Amino acid sequence: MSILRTARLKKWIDERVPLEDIRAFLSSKEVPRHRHSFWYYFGGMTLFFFAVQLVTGILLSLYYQPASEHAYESVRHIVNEIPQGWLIRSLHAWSAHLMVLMLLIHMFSVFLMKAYRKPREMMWLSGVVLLLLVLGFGFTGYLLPWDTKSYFATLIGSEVPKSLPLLGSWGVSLIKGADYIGEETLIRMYSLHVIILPLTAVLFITFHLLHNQYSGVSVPVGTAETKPAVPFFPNFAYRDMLAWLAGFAVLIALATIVPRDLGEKADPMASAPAGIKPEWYFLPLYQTLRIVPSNLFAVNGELIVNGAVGILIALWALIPFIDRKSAKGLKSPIFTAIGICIILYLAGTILAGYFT
Amino acid sequence: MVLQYVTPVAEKAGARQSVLVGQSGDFAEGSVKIVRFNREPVLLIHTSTGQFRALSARCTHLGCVVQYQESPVPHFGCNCHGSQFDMNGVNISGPAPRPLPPYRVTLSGSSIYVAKP
Ligand code: HEM
Ligand code: FES
Repeated sequence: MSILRTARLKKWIDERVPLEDIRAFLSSKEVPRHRHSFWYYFGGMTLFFFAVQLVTGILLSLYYQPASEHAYESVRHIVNEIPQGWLIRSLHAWSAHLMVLMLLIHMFSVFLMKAYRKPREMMWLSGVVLLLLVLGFGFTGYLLPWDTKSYFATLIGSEVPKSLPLLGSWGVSLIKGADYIGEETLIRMYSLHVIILPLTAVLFITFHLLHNQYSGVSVPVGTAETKPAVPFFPNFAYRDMLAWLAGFAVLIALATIVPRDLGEKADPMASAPAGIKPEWYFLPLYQTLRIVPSNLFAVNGELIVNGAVGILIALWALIPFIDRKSAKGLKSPIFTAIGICIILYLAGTILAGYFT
Repeated sequence: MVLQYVTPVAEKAGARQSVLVGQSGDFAEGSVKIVRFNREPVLLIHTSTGQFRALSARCTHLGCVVQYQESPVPHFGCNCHGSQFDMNGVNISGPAPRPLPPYRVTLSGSSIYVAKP
């Protein structure tokens, strides 16, 4: 296209949609530079892997069949017969791991930088919702291949909330769609995985990004800016894309060198095989349930763990309102210490759950 | 309204009260096999004294299907979190909170039927 034609097209669009305003809006945000700037990449990385999930997920959905008699065969068909099918599936599975990892790094880095303080409380809240949604993606996607491991892991995972009073057993039957893991469960998981969760996630991501665009990027309390801030667009966006390229290289390498495997087809009447464990990001819950005795002070151990997890997530969501000091622009070392303790606990239980 | 729609219907139509699981010749003395009772896996135990007994094969912890293990002493083990049950289904170790519920076995000729107690 000649320069003249491009300019004419731009003018044509501009008369209808204010492109210049959008550009100005994007470059109005500035990314400060200081010794913690490195951590600003991880939100963008999470977004990138989410986009990969959308693309590969839609591709998988062209062949995947959400019926217990056909699910396993359809995944085998994708892997063995559809050209590049194994790669698409492997990318989807690996990108899920990387997305959770990036999200955790992003979340803990904004926590430690206290970026949740005023005026970004709602960004933090929407971030906690996104965390739960992403864990939901992982849980609901896991059953879809319908192999032995995915079947029993889902069976156990869906029983865990049962001990909660009132809503527990109703909630469990709601996700299972029956009192056993079967056809109804698979369809519900599929609906959650490919319709309900993606739509909700896109909504919250949009909010998260727009809010970020409005309020700009925070500078941690007491950190000096080392260099002048750069405009988000195009300067930082360009760097973001370089990081995405690096992430994509890692993803391709993992997906081709360690392709996602497919076990035996699930048999609900067979004994559970040894070594059933959830994905690494559910190991903290798994390991905690293993440590806490089934009866503690005459109370059901699972009830204690479930209740504690619920309360901790609620507290985690309310951090911006609990940490009064950083809301006033003061340092709050206690919360830094809390964050580090949580990271250590998660890392410890993941390692212990993995190796024992 | 929406809640009613999404709440699963409790009992599936067509679930039978008593299920033919096989012929007595299919089960050697001193063996344990998993048979199907509607949707549920059930342990059919043929004792060395020639009796038939049945227990739910579903671990009372979080619902995995347990496995018959002969050593060191015959028992049922759950691979998911290591619960163990003795041959009467009583939980003897691990996180399982209750015994495996028993089922009723009836013989009609050589046909074996399993039913809810
Ligand atoms: C719109 C977005 C998405 C769509 C349409 C989609 C679709 C699918 C489909 C059809 C499958 C079954 C095929 C298979 O098992 O290989 C699947 C599996 C899976 N999905 Fe997604 N997905 C999406 C997003 C996500 C996200 C965001 C995650 C991450 C946390 C995720 C995690 C998984 C996992 C762990 C599996 C099982 C992988 C396997 O064992 O193959 N998905 N997804
Ligand atoms: S499900 Fe059997 S021990 Fe947990």
